Amino acid sequence: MIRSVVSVLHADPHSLVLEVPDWPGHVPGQFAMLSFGPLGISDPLLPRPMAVFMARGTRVEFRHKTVGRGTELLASLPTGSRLGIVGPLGNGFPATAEPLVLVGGGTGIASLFELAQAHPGSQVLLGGRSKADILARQEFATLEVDLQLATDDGSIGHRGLVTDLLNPRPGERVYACGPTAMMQVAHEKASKASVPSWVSLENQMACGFGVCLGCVISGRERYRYVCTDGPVFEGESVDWERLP
Amino acid sequence: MTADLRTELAGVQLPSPILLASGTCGYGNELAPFLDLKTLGGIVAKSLTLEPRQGNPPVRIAETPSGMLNAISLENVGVQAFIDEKLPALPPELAVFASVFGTDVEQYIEVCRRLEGVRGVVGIELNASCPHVKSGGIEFGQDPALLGELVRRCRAATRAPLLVKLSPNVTSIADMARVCEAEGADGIALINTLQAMAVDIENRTPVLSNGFGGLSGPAIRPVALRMVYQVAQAVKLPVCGMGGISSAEDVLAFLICGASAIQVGTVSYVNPQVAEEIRLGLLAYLERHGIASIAELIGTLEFPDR
Repeated sequence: MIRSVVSVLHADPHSLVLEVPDWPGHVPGQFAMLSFGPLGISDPLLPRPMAVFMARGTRVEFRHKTVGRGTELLASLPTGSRLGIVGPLGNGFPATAEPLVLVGGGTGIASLFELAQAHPGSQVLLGGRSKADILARQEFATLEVDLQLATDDGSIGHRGLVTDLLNPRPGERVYACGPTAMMQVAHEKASKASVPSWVSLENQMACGFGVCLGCVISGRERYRYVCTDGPVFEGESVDWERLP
Repeated sequence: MTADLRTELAGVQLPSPILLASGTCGYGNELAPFLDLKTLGGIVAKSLTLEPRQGNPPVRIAETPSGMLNAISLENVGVQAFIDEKLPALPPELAVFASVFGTDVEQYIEVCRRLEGVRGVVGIELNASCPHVKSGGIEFGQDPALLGELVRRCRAATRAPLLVKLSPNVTSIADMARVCEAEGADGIALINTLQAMAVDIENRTPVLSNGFGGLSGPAIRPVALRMVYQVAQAVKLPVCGMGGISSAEDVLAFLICGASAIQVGTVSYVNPQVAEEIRLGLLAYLERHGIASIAELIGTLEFPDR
């Protein structure tokens, strides 16, 4: 885990690439907190949690969608801008040799890319509202995986929900990242097929390393922190009805 | 020659005036991946209650202009687990203040007693000001009579250096500080968060599950600075200032206004190394101005003749 002030190599409304000289490496599904302080900006104040899309050496890449002031600012940064980074944070997806079924929607797709890369032969199911919303579609298409797409408007792939494509078989594992409703259905389908599932949850957080205690979610027995207990949780352990 | 950052707070010698604020540094070790804890002036650990507390359900935080709201509601492991598990994990040379909270005076007293003589605890900070617990906190910090009773009885219960952390949600912060001084406190810490709220206009509901929360961060810094100045003028006790501190420049302003030490809070979330950056910034300032010791700056604010 490091904290550094780093340079922006590239930023646009979909992707952000940083030069992080001391990036210690990470597990797919881990995230970083990106902060604006080094730009002399205190509003927005809080760092933004963002899943690592891919890292190669010191080049760390994120995929995002403009949803508010923070992501708007990130999208507009000129090359050479300075950002604060803390990471990698959280647990990431558990390592496994079992065949994977990856289910991704929206910006959650970003967390799955390196898993797909590292597990040739996996089934990769990605969904979005329309073709343009399926993040990193071209990059996924270069991988040796069984890639299937779904869009609400049918502009590419199956017209309907990405979870319509999911039929997990015994011996597989389902890893999902995306909207809560999508992950819940993925978990339920997996559970029905007696297949274990892991999901990557999102929540507001101020620190990302377990001190603000802002990112709690209900667990079966106690509150759990998305930042340090997660963001990846066993689907079975999530109290789906009480997620924020 | 390196300038001298040593200071004294509530009778405790500190290697620097930079402490980490309660509720923003966990029990200390959470920051160890980012900071050499031994370079800190000290920490004020997360507020402790007699029994562990689970805290509020989500949503607990909200971002606001240059600040944030929180309503964590004092989630903590309880005083005994702090003593048995958290404290021994810290470097022995780190000055640890234990923050104490209760929903009635008896609980405060009992937590103070449990901490009495515990190795590694250099002092107690009474959290008289947490603004989001229905049955405690705010009443103590907002009512001079209740605050006086709390300080008097805790003073009687412990020999440990006693800081009282004040709520800013009062008409006269100076009056509250005078009450603490009269009842035997060893120092004043201020300010806690400002009571605030945020609204979800789509659902017409409060953003926080608790309704209200405490506002912290750079947004409150000018308010904190004014209150620190007023308290430093009103009492002879040492003052520990906090509220949105983000840089060495901010720290210098608090010291000049009369604080003997300061605490860094919310900004540690954004930059967990900010305390070390501040330390280096203070050394650079002292060197630039040819000042041998940071203590020379405390309370040196002058109003020019008009």
